[in-house]
Amino acid sequence: MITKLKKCFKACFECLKEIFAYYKDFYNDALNRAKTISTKDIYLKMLLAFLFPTACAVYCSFREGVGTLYMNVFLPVFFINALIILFGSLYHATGVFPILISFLTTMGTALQIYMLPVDDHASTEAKKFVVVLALGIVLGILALPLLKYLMTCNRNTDSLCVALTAVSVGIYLILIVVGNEVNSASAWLTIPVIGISVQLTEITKLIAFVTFAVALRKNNPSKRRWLPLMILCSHAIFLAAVNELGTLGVILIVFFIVRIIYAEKKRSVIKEALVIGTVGLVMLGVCFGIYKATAPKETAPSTEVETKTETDEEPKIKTEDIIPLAEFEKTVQNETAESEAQQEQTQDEDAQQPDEKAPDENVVQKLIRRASRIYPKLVNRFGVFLNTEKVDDQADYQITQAKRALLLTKWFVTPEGRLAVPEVKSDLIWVYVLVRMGLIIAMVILLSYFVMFSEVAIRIARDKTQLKQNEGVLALAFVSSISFQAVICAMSSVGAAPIVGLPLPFLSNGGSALTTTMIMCFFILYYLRNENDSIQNTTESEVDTSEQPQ
Amino acid sequence: MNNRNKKLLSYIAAALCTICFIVAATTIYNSAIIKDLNIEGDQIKEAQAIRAGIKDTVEGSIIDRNGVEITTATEKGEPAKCNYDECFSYIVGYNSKRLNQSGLRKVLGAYLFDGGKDGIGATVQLTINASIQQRAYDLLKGTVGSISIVDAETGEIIALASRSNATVGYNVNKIDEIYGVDKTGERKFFYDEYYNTLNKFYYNRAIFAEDPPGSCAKIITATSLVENGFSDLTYNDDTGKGPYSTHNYKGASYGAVDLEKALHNSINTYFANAGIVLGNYRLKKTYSHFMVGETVPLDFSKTGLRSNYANQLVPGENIVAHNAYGQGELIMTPLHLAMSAAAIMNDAVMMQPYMISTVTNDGKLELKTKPHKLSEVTDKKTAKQVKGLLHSTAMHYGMYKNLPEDDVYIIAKTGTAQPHTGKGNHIYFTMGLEINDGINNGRIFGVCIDKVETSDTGSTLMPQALAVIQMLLEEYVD
Repeated sequence: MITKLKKCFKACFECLKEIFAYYKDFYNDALNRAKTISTKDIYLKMLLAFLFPTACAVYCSFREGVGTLYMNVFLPVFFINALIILFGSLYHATGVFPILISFLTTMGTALQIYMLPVDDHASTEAKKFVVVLALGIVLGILALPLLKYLMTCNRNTDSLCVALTAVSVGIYLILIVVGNEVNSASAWLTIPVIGISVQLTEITKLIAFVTFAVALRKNNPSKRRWLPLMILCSHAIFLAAVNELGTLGVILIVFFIVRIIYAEKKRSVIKEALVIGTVGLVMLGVCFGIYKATAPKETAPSTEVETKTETDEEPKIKTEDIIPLAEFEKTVQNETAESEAQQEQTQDEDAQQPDEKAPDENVVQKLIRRASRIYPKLVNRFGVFLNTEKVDDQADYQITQAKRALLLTKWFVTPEGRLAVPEVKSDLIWVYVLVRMGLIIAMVILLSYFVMFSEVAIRIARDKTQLKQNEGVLALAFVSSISFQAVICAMSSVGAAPIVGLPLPFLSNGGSALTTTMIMCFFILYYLRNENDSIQNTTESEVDTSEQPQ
Repeated sequence: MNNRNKKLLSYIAAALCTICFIVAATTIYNSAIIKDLNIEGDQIKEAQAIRAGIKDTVEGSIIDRNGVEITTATEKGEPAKCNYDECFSYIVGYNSKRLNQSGLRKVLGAYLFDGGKDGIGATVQLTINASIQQRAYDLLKGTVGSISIVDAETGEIIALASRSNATVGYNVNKIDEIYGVDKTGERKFFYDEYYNTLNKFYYNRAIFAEDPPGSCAKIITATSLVENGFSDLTYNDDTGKGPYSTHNYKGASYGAVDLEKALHNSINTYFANAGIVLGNYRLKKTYSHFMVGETVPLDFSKTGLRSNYANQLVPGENIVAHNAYGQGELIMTPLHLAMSAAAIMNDAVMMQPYMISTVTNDGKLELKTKPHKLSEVTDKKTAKQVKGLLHSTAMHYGMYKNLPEDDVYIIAKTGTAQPHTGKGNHIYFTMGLEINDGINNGRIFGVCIDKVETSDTGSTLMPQALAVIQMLLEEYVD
């Protein structure tokens, strides 16, 4: 036992050592590349980076007051664009990929200001968005060597997949036990002390893609045919447990795209689809059973009736959060006088306070409650999609309001007016894009996602070295996730698909989603590096270029 | 990568591109880009017209049926002042630079902000009587509820007072003022943001409070009994408990009960049994004649007046039994109850309710509403019989103690419902009034007073009901 443990620790230590070496090489390489960029090239890129925020400033000036607020974030947006474009040029990233990221993130920042009433709050929201973008860039650069290591190392694929899936399962378990519930999904975790909520399912989504890619890479010594399917099933079960069906949908789409491209025998994908379909139906059946078992009995009809109207909306701000102006001014004066004494007292009280109360229900009860919601949620979403006229639910309210707003859509910009669309900053941002920017610009944005996908797909088709092919698996997973999530979000917003609750990559205001998207983008940017690169060729020269059977 | 995989990749890219075009096509189909504007599109067109005219026009006035100014504006581009502050706020709505418009100022924006030749928007005359509206609103002080008064013969809405918070009144004149700040003092909150924190604050309860009507629904069930030949139906109520777990208020039992006694004492067990005797078909037919389960369009609200008879096409017998005494899956609004009482008073004719009387701009009449029939709720004979029964109920309540019988004829029914929110009772007092003004046969009205989140019963609204009768007598008799 002790010998096994020792071996395990040794393997881990070696693994860490290898990863450290990767980091060292990667950053040395990056520094060497930075020295080779010409000053003229830097000026050109800076000019390009300056263009997008300027265009957005012009756009913002259409609405009174918004232009002034946008100037607060002009410089940070410029620096972010410059960083993205310069990172692209560091690796001679070909095509328009870095320009598209830059374009979309700038649009996203401008929209954050544009969609709120003109006050300081709008400016704060945009600043937060820019901070998250910057965080995404930093994390993207930090995660890059690790992702590269996972795709190229010669470690046992099965062990790597098991380790990565174990990490995901750990995260899911944390979510099940202590996750916050928002709209019946338990995908968020509030970090103690700092109090920031993180959508951990975004991280597990990223890990799922990496695990698929590791399982499907070309130097895969694993003979287990069902490994990718097992990875998918483990994620599917836990995502259903936390009621995050939108993310599950994206993972399924990405799985099939990657699988169909990289499977040696295409028929096996059909078999896998059948297995997934059967598992899905069984799970739905179980959820239906739990729903029926836990549904209230029809004994008291008077209390069953729930006609939700727009009047039943739960207010987002609570009454107690607002203090009348005069009262507040008084409080401030009093507080200044008593501040020191009060602070000391509060600290003492805090120290004496017990831990948070344990929740009333245990984990099993939580899981049963969530499972009982899956069936009605799915039925409702599809019911609403098929019959949008019947207003009896929040999701229905969302799409009805979205459809009303869509009537305002013109070919070009409509700067005036306020849209009463719920979740307009995140899930239904596409409606806002359509109405405020017009159909033409909205379609340019949507086609940007298509161009992103196409560019990566073309590069994958041209890859000749095994190293690049391995990275290509992950790049395809990432770009499929971004592009398909975008089109699904757009489809559900215009009523062409059921509401799924997915944010629009780069534009929606969601910290976790934006950060993971930036991590994916930086890997894709790195993957799209110039094939004629001398430094790269030295690394790849040792790798066999012939295609090996999986 | 082999050619087969390259092909597959191109197919996926093609699928992605197709989805992009589906999004574009669906957007075009759902928007006003190429198709003819539908009703909603017209409203949006109107909204755009408002935005165009709002800066260069003095907002048009809204006046009551007697020409009393409810809103007055003096400067171009500035919101008009509502002269009655709170009591008209739910009706006229706000005109805000931040939030655009709501209420009548949104619905009639295309007229109110159409400057015409003189640069002043159109004048909108309402059917509301400002004096009655103010007095009705005063009666609601300290409560959450509404008072609806409709003219039974024309459908004109005489008063539609509503209050959504017992302590704070909604004042549209303050909409752009800063109400307060958050705990840190950094974020400022406007009045509307504060109101949003108070549940259901913005909404006119008279048309939006969709709850079971309680015993007031017995007016309709009684109509159904009479028109289907069951006016002599009796029920032996020995235990105070009826079919499908129905029970009377405080579990009281009444022995042998006929329709009149059942209405006097609001006996749930009798009406639950009546529901079973009538069956779903007959009961639903009468309720649909009273427009229950249909949406009644309103000229001052896009939503209209909504109601529900049953969630399923063929509800179970238990639902029918509970619906018959005003619970179950039955949902109605206070204005709808006032209309129902008005229909009984108006020889079974339910008139379309309306609030906008005329719109005049530059001396030209741009819009005039003509009264029209909405539904014939039953035959005249039945209506007369039900009217008699409900008049006897009003006498039983003791409503004539301080009222001159010659001046006013009253039909009444109280109601106490348990709404789905579970926050106490929703109580109603529904009346039909015929006021003898000494000129014609008399003026007839439908009235509904309601109060929510209370532990009281419908009969506790008697003082307000008498006050409403008194104010109508003062207005139309003196």
